[in-house]
Amino acid sequence: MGSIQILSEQMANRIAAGEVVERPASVVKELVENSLDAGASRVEVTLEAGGRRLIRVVDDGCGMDAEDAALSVQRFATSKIAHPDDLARIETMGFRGEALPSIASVSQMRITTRPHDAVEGTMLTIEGGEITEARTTGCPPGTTIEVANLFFNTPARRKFLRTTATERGHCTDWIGWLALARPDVAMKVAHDGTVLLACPGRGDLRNTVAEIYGSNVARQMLPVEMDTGAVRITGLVSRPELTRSSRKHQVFIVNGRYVRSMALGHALAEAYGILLPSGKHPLCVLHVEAPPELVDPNVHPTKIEVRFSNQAEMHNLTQQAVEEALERAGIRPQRPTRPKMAPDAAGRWEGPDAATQMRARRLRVNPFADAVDDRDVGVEVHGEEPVVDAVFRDAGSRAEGLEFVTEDRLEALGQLAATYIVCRAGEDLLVVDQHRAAERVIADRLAGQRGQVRRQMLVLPITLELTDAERAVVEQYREQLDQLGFQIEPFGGADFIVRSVPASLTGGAVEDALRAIVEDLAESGTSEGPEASEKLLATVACHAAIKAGQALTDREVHELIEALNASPTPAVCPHGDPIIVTIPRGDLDRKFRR
Amino acid sequence: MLNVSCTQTELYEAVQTVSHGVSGRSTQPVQNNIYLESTADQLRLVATDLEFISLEAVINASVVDQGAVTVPARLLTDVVGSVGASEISLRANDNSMLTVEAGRSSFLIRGMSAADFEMLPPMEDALEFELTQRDLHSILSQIVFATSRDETRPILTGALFNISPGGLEVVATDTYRLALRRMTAEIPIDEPTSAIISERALNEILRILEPESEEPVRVSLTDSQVSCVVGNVTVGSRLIEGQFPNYEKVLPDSSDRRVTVDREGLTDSLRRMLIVAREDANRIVLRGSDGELTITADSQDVGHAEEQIPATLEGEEPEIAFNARYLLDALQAITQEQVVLELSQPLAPGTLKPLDSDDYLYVIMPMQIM
Ligand SMILES: Nc1ncnc2c1ncn2[C@@H]1O[C@H](COP(=O)(O)OP(=O)(O)OP(=O)(O)O)[C@@H](O)[C@H]1O
Ligand SMILES: [Mg+2]
Repeated sequence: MGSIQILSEQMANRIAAGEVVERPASVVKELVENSLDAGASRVEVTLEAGGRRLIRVVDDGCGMDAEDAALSVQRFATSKIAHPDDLARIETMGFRGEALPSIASVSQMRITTRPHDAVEGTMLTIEGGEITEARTTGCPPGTTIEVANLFFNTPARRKFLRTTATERGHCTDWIGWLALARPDVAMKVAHDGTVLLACPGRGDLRNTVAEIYGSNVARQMLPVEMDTGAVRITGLVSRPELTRSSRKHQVFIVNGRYVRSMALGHALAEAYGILLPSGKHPLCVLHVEAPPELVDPNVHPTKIEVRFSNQAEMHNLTQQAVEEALERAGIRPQRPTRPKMAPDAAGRWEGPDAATQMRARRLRVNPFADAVDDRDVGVEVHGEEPVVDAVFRDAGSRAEGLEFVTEDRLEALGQLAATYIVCRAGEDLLVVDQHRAAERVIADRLAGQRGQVRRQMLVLPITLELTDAERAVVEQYREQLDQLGFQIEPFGGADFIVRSVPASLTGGAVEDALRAIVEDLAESGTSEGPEASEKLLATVACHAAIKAGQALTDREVHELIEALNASPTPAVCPHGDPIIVTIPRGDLDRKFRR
Repeated sequence: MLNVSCTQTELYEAVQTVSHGVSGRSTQPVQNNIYLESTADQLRLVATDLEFISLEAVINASVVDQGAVTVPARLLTDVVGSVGASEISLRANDNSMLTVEAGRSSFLIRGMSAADFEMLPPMEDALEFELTQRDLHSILSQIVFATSRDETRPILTGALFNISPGGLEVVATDTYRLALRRMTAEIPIDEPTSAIISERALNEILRILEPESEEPVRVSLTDSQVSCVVGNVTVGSRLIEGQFPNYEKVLPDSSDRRVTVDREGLTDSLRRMLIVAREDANRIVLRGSDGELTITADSQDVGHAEEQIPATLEGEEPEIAFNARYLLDALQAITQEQVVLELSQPLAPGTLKPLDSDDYLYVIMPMQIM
């Protein structure tokens, strides 16, 4: 790695500025990325108290000399780009020279570093951004960066941090993604003395997936392999029977960088098409390698999004790569007439007009339908608060003033758009949101049974292989889940075993609901007190309830409305959203000018 | 171009049978149609969702011209069902329009080209064997209800067929109960094999089987597909791929409490208890003592129900809670007069089977007694 240069003003302005450090996980991400940029072959991360007390990242990368070490904590100091044109073809993870100074300014930092060819190392102590001590020291080659007491000088931001388990989970999520991006680098994470993750760095992606998601998941992944010369798409996608109800476990790595990409996510879903049950998402780890000039990573302050200059082509190639993987496994019928797409000399793709193709497909699946449900949007490590939480907090206030006026019982007339149930009550017309109504009914049932749980034991206990963040919430909520009827026991390593489920949920997809509950809780973070059990109830009800878009038989419609009639609070769902919209007879009269 | 005539009764029956193969969910509109083809002296009807179900029927017809066309299933069913005449003639033209004439009525139905209609691929090197309709009906009716409706676990939505030279073992479970049926049969293979067949296909086969018929059903099986020929109807399906869970380890190997009861007596009693139990997740409690089995149901909202039936008790006195519906499912599928419940601890699985028979085994998981 070359030595560090201060970016010119002009260039600095061209680089999206923004907050880099939101929470311990963002520090972990930036430090590990720096280690990867420094050519490390092993990276060890140590966390204490969810990273709030200490984050230590040790690498065996190129190290820094004394001068560079001091420069590294200055704003816009980077060794990675020197010329404005470099921005157009970024091949390193970092390029702004912003991470270390930002982190240093809100923590107590120590950098211990030595280039491989130097005899002595340098140790810098930095306190709130000021270098307070610089001296030479003996140390192994490579770099160790310790970040202690994050946000010690910004109490407001410290207050925003969540429980240890949540912060720890976000950290391990990020390290997992980085490990999936670089299976060739050994990565190890320990938290308060326990090793949470140890990827051997042998370059085998399936191994890394097994380490992070469990060996069952790894076994059910199919290899993806496509190379057009200019673009290479490789990695693993799940067999259609292995799905999750959020997209969190879809990992896209573009030129070595973990990114969120609507386009790639959509391409993946399209490739599975009707193989997927509605509301279900496959798992994947897909590496996309494209010429750097086609990929602009500089569109989001935390580099979490990329923009392709040939978005439609990338979409189609990705879809094709996954389709081929499914076809090879005999899961999708072979489509012999598929046009092969390859770039022409100018780097453009031939084949059917991409726009037409996308339009034709869109008729069958609304590509962004799921995006509408904001509960499904992954919580961004750098984003503000998790969406889910905001939903819960607002619930109380939104529910106020909402009153269900009619004295009459609802009488179901039929289902509308597989989403609503049209009812009559007295002379009024009422439209019921079927998902919310079902949530209400389940929540009532579960709450009513609190003193007297009905558990249904399982012939085949469910094994849950959990990520670290999920394990943390299961541990926290175990007793409360048990009181609802989910008897969950640790089963060695990362696994838990579920021996019973609430008897009132046996008609539906319980295993799946339970996974979704755990994922949801893991994303929204743990909380304490009575609020926590309310939240749990709402989450369970949400995932066990019938979904919008699900066609119901007449009998199911009537049962649901009958159950809603029996509820003490039929108007508000457990999240606090309205269940019923009333169109009074008077409104109709007015509309018809009667 | 297709041009045939046949009897209304035969055609209507075939159209009704085959139209179950239309899922209505297919993204290719032509797959929501029934495919009609006139061969040398027959009319062939096919409908398939290309996945779980392919239904094919062949009926006698006097063929004027050979050809094929596809028409919407629902429309064809309604038209053929509505005409009174005993003879129907079908005639397609180049634009995939089908003329249906019966007596003095005539319909012109807008169809789609048969060229685009896809069918399951032909089966090559299939394992073939025969069972009587009665035997296959007996097997399927005892296990199909135990398959899972949970589409998120596709494997459990099918039943596992373990096929060996000496016979079949068929297993289905939705994780709350497990049904296992064995049957001896001559099967021309050297190595045991297995297949997971979807509940949809099994129910379709069950629907066309005659419970008392000694007529044969011809079963063909490959790595990826199965088909059953019953009379003039062929039901085909893709197999469900994957590993069926290891069920053997959940079959209880010991029990210290045995309850023998009259099947109908228990069935009737459970139906009555359900009136109360259905308000409480269908939960009923069984307690045995002094030559009687006491069945109770309790619901906070509704009240209490209780009933005693005579029983032969062996071993310790049992006390256990079950979902009454799960018990009833199996009781209704058993034909013998006496059944045995083998139980042990209140949270351990129970087994229900016909007295003096090892052909059928129904493992049912308890609910917690509290
Ligand atoms: N672990 C490390 N090993 C060697 N050099 C490092 C290490 N960490 C940081 N550096 C040096 O310090 C510089 C500043 O790091 P910093 O993360 O602030 O900026 P960057 O990585 O260039 O850009 P970005 O802000 O986008 O991450 C880097 O360019 C690199 O030269
Ligand atoms: Mg960096």
